[in-house]
Amino acid sequence: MSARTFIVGGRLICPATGRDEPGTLILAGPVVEAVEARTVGVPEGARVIDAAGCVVTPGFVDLHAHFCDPGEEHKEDLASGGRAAVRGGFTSVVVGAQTTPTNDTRAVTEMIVRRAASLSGCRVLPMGALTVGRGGRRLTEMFDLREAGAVCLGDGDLSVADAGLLRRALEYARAIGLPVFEHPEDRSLAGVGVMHEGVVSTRLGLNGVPAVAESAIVARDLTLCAATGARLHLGPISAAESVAAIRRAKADGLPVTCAVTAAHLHLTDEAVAAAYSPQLRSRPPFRAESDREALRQGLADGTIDAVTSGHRPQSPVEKELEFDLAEPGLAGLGSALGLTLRLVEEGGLPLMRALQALSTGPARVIGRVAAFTAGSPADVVVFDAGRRTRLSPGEALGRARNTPFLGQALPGEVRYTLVGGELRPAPAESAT
Amino acid sequence: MSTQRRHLLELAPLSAHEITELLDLAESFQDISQRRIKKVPALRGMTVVLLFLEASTRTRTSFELAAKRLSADTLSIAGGTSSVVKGETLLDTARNLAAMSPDIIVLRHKHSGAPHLLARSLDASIVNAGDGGHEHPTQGLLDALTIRQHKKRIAGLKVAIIGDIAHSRVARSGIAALSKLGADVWVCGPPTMMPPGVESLGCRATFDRTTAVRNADVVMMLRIQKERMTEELFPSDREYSQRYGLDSGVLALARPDALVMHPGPINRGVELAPEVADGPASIILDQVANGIAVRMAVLYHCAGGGGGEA
Repeated sequence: MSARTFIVGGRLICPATGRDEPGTLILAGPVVEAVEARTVGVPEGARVIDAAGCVVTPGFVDLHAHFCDPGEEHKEDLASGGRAAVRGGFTSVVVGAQTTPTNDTRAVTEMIVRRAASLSGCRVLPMGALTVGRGGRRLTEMFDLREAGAVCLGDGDLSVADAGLLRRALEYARAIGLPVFEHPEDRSLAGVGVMHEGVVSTRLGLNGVPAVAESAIVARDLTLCAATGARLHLGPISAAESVAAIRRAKADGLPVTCAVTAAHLHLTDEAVAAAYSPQLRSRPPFRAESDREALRQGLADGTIDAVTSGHRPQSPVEKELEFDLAEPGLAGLGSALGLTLRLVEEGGLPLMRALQALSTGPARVIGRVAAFTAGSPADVVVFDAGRRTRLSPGEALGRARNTPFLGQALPGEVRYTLVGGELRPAPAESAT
Repeated sequence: MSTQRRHLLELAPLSAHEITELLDLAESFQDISQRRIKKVPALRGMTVVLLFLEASTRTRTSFELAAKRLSADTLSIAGGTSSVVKGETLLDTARNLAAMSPDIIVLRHKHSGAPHLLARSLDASIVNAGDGGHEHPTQGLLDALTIRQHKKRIAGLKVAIIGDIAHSRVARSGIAALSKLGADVWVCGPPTMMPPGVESLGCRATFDRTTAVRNADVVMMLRIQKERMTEELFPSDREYSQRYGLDSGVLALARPDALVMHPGPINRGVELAPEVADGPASIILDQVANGIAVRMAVLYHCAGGGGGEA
């Protein structure tokens, strides 16, 4: 019998089952054995993790992160990204196909999976490219990608511009059984824009990305989703129009899901006005106050399935530049939990719903299980909701430090992260 | 001066009072350029770097003369000759310059917000000489000064600004300065050249040239920037000129004593008909002359105003 772990004294919250009560979580090796509401005796030899005063909940699943490995290891790699993930409470991370070389073949997917197994500490779940080289011209060998370990198919931070090809890709993916991820942005409408198009871009004299650059693709993709019956995931989304369209599509029974980054639930275009800070350049851009409200509403009512980190590390080489020239993106793994809990603190979002959007919701998108039910993976995060974490350069952020939240104290402090029943980072590792 | 500003990055946050004081200061410097010895020792011993990373003749020479007439030492660096063409970042170029302890860096740059990047990274005072489509604050000030000198006031005047408002830094600085001083500012251009929510800058907007020009006291024509991508903004020079250009027939809609302005360089026959550019209503060359006085005032102010806290 494999080693047993007793996580005692905590408040167990399982969004999959709706459980929220004090109790003991018992793990047997890599899987959940049982949940006990009563105090239970810990048998000799079992490992005990003291979760007094803490929330114990299924580990978080990130649908939109980028570990830049292979290709841009000066920004992040499978080891540093994995450390940032588990310190942020994430036990599974979908890494985008926008690696160099592109993750569009079995060989690349296998290499990422194999290297991540020894380096990352968390479960690294690759996105396989939908089209060769993410070029939008030819379909990839999707069966092969699935066999190698891809959990979804998509062109990373690109949407497929050619509607005819996207239709064929959605059809073909039905046989694969994996969801198709689309980053909804029409490149001709986005043009040379670098921030949300609106009153603030007018004031700053920066080229805008109109909300329709996103909602036009959302509308097209939903139509193709209805026509093909393929599982479609849209994200990250940023515009109120997208939320409304997806809400209608879900009501119509379409197999569509969507995600938002934690940062988009807080930041608006007004933040950019402070001093053209390149840390606030993002794709999709931070939009207007009304968009942010729509995103929060969509999260609360379940239209939005998942909150993601949107982790996109950049080094100072890509960020200490003119706003127009800086690369978009922020390192989000260290702030995703805190920003989501901030919504709970502010009173708009029940804690159960917040945790659901971080674990069960995204797990379901990629056909995984995040639950405290017997036999489920022993992926667990233990965090103290009453304490705050100050974001400082270091492992909480990964290798990168490109975040506009640097120095801020965000709610929640992750105490323990267990992946497959093992503490991550491993205790010896964290001591060094 | 009531508020000592170390940098001049944009006019939008300035108060009417601050703008008026800068205009008054510029006026006080104006006679220096009329003397035989065009120099005062106000900035003697100070170093002004002119970092012009986007092509400019008029603004660069204007700043250079302004600095020299205040006795500052000047160093002029243009885009083509700088290490930026060798791949150096703006910040690295500026840090290297800053290591030589200049007092003021005047920056012209094709990207909006570039002066803000320098202002938060360097000790020197930063003066914006035009950043992308954002602002061109000394142009806004010299336009205001030129109008004030001809009309003896700005409050209550109808000013029409016509052209590519969306991509114009001249428009943004002009709207900021003139609206704060009480002018009734109208902007006009085809919808593709109107940025969303332009009224929030402090103006009224119309797509119709007649509405903008009728009874205007000042008509300010913007340059069609052929060097930028404009093909998706309007179909042809011909149609633009017919619908949004200024010729004597259109100018007749304005007040009889209306002034015609243009930040230069002019596309003759596109936004401005030659008979208007060279006609009696044109005060384009006055704008150029006032540019030096305004830039002297700005440099003097940012250098500490000869005793103010800098």
